[in-house]
Amino acid sequence: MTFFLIVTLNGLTLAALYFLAASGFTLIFGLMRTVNMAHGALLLLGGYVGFEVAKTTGIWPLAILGGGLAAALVGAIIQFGILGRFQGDELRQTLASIALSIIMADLMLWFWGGITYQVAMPDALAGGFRLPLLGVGYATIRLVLIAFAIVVGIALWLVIAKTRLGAIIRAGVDDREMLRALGFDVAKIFVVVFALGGLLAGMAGVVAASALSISPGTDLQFLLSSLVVVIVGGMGSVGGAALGALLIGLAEQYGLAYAPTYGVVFTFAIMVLVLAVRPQGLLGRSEA
Amino acid sequence: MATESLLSIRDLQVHYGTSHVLHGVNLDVDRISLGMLGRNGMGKTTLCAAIMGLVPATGGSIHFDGQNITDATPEKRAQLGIGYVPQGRRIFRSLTVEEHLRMMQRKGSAWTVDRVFDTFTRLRERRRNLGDQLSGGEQQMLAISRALMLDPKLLVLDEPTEGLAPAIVSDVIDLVARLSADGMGILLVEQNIHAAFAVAQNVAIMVNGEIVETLPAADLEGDTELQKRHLGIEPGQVMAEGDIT
Repeated sequence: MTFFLIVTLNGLTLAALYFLAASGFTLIFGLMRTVNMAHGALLLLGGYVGFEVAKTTGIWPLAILGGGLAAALVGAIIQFGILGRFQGDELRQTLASIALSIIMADLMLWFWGGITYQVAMPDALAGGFRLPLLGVGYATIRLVLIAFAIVVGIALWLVIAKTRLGAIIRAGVDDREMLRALGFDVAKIFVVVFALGGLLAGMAGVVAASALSISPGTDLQFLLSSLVVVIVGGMGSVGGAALGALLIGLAEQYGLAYAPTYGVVFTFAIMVLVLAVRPQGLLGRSEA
Repeated sequence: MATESLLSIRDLQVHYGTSHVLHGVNLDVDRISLGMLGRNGMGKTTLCAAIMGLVPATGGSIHFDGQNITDATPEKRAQLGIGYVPQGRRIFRSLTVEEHLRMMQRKGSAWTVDRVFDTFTRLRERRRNLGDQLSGGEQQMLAISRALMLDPKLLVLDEPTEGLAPAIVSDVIDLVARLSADGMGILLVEQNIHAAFAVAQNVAIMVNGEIVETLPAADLEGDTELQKRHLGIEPGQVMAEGDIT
């Protein structure tokens, strides 16, 4: 029983990370139909910058903020300078974002090298936490990570459901052309949303670098997981990203614990099943 | 080329791929209401989309309020003062009535959320409802309201009475007539010839992507021969409603 609960907690931790990574990805796709293949690179960049900030200042929340802002800035530049030029040509955007992802990964390899980084955490988070009832210890940072993902999820929901910016984003998802015909400069809104997606990716990178570690390849690992999560949850749906992340995170950990040989199969079995039964994803909308 | 008219279209050409949809449209809309009539598939909706910049012009020019807007973006045209009420209304399905209006709110506009709610009390009752929970008539009121919140100089309405109950049709007609009387330029595309006659001072007839006739509405109303020739209407017959153009 204890083992099962620990595995469940591990699954939730992973799900929290997957959600943080996938939420920005799905937000961008939902509004712009852009499959941003550089999303993983933004995440890794956020992680590296967060590491530097933590090393310099020693303040962990500042590292999260710094990593998030750096990725947000680069995301905005990518959309404003490159992808925005191909708006409406999704294939070209996707290919350009793959190129960007490779270029960014190489630049980061050149600057930070091939070694593994872990963000230094405050002592309060670095230790373990004795779980009530179970009587076993569990890494505090992992519990913080789950809480952080929940807070980010609620904040994101509030922004989308309750603010004027959120209303404009939803209107753009519903009918982008009509939004323009009402006088809204969607190009500007796209840059803002890309920055928001970058912010989420960058923060996810710092959190990943704290709870786990980052190194070259982390970008592709999270890009792949984000793709799987949004395919399962539904492209463009933030709620779908949460559900998809939960399913994939738990499936991976249960698989690893109870059927290690076939662990990876579960992830893709879920994806194939969803694609076969509900191709738009669990909470996705079918194209009208 | 600055012209006198509020909206001035010269030799406008539009192609969809290889098909030539608008063949040199010439049209002037001023601060009086112009009705646009024509059978299905004659290019009326395409003309509206071209005026808004939603389909590119492949030739000719469009001037609005003294500016050349032939290559302007849709958002620029809206900001200059063209309000667009599209065919099918195109209400955002995941926004509430109130959100539709709040996002359009801008400083100094003659139309505020409160003024819309005072004008359309039904919308106030439905303020918390999502776009796709509204009836056709409510959607139409909302589509017109959100365009009004831009404070437009010209309102382009593409078949606003399509698919609505007769009582609602007369509400829409009354509203558009009132806006016209207040000095707003109106371009009203209609299948419903009676709606056009009730609102428009002048009517233009579109056949195969060209304006073949522009005349006072009263003249067309009395000329059944002309109606029959261009619109395919037998005397006393009402044009089919609800068709897709």
